[in-house]
Amino acid sequence: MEHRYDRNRGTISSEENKKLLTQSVCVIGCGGLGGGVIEGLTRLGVGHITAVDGDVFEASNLNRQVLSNEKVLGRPKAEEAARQMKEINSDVTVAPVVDFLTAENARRLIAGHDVVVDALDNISARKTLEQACEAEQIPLVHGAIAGWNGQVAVIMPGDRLIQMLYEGDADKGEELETGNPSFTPAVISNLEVAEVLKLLLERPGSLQHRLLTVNLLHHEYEVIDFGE
Amino acid sequence: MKVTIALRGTLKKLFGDEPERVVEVPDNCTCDEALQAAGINYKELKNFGFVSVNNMRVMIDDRLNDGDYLKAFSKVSGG
Repeated sequence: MEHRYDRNRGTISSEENKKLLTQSVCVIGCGGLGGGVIEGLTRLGVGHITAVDGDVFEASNLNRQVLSNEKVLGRPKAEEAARQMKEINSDVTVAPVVDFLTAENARRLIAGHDVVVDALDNISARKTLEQACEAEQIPLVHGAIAGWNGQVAVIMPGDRLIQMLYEGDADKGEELETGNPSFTPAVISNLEVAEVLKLLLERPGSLQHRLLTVNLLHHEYEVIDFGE
Repeated sequence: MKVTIALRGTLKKLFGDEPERVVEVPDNCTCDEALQAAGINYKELKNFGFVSVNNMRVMIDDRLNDGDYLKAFSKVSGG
């Protein structure tokens, strides 16, 4: 479709947009973060997206998950991602995987992708994903949210930032206390999209070795150095 | 020596309305000891995440210098 990417120009060149159409991103989780990430990548024109989530939409998702609406309650999130993205950008193929990430399937799910996105909602799966990305030598973009707070980082194979971030055995963080309103996943998912784009186009300024922490209540935006 | 402590995420409420707290601590004290001087025992906090000094992530038992800025972050894991 002519003019589809006109407003990318100045930020993403025509040649870069053509390159994006050949690239692939695996998004693990199609909920609050994943929905925003998948839509952002689709609109940018990233050609091949794998959407992984074993869950179905339920009423408590409607407050924040952009792929959810009243008509799709009970439908698999990954399949809805594929169906809805086809209506936004037919240049893009979204391959749905209706399954949860496990230690057994993680490497198979992510193999061959240029970048993997962490849009998960628990710590044990994040640890599994980081290990799988290291084994497959694929960059991982991490995002997490809780209430007014969120965080983003870029993890290259061997960095092991997830291990440093989540010491101990807890599987959840303060989101059990704060819940997740609409605006935080919107912000954090799109910060993840920006980091994916930088990786795909080899742009400088990535959040490797650094964690961006965001507090939308007090407007605190801090970059914490995690060392090389 | 003096260090400044700030809390992030839901830990913030432990300081009430204070955005940060300056505490007098012994030379070479650890991050853990400085937090305790400010009334924070990280082991009792279910959602305690990690600490940074001068915006660099450090270990809780790392030692501080005069004038350091210590931040304690909560554990954030939703998606």
